[in-house]
Amino acid sequence: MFSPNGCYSHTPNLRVRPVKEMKSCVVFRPNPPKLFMLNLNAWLIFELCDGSSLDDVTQRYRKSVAAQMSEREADRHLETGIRNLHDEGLIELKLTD
Amino acid sequence: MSNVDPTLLSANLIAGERLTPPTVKPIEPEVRSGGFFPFCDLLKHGEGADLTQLLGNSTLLGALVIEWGYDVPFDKHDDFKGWLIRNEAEIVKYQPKDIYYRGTYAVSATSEKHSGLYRTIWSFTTLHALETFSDAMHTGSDFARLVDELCSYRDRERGADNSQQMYQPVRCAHRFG
Repeated sequence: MFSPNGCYSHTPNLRVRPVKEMKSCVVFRPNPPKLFMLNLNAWLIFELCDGSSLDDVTQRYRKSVAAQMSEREADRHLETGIRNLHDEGLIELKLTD
Repeated sequence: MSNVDPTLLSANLIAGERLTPPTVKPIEPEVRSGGFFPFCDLLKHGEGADLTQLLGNSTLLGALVIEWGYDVPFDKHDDFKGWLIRNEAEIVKYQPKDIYYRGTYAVSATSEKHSGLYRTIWSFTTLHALETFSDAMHTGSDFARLVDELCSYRDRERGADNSQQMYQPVRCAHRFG
């Protein structure tokens, strides 16, 4: 799932509602139907999964959180976030050659 | 739910934040219908010859009792207390027929989380009195003014605790749920 040979993108037909006041984001997954609350960190990772490669997502994530954590810690957070988002069916991995 | 494009929104919110590990939590909808007992008009359908007496001496508070649960901001408690001391008798003075203000209470202990630390209790002798209450709130009457003032102390912030309970005497309650 955490693959260097692929691109991460949102699962089709999700409904996304940022809740700025709570610094979080609500996502509705239609199939099977379920609502999820993403904290700010997961929301950022979710946004970065816009069809980009893992390397690109990693670089942009590291840059976004550079003031808050080391690169090593950022990589751990990113791996956790991608795994959680993928497990819940909010992002999908498209493998490339 | 509209499909808002959140591009870069989260990145803009991160500045100055202490980021916690990413979490993706399912939201479990909670449906509260509470419709176990259909409303019953006590005086019309209640059994027993002593109904009028029980209502008259407040053994039974009414055909319907409504309890408002809410919070008042901590720094407004003393103002609220003072307002009640000055105005509770006024509410009673102006309450419409068949509607009874039964006091406002501080919750000393409760097993119900998020229901608020204050309760205001109303009783209605008939179900029709509910409509009377609604009508009275649209007339600009002293009663309406006092209820509005009482409610103005409620904490209206997002996430503030609140609750509402409706009760009726079991002696005329038909249970279907």
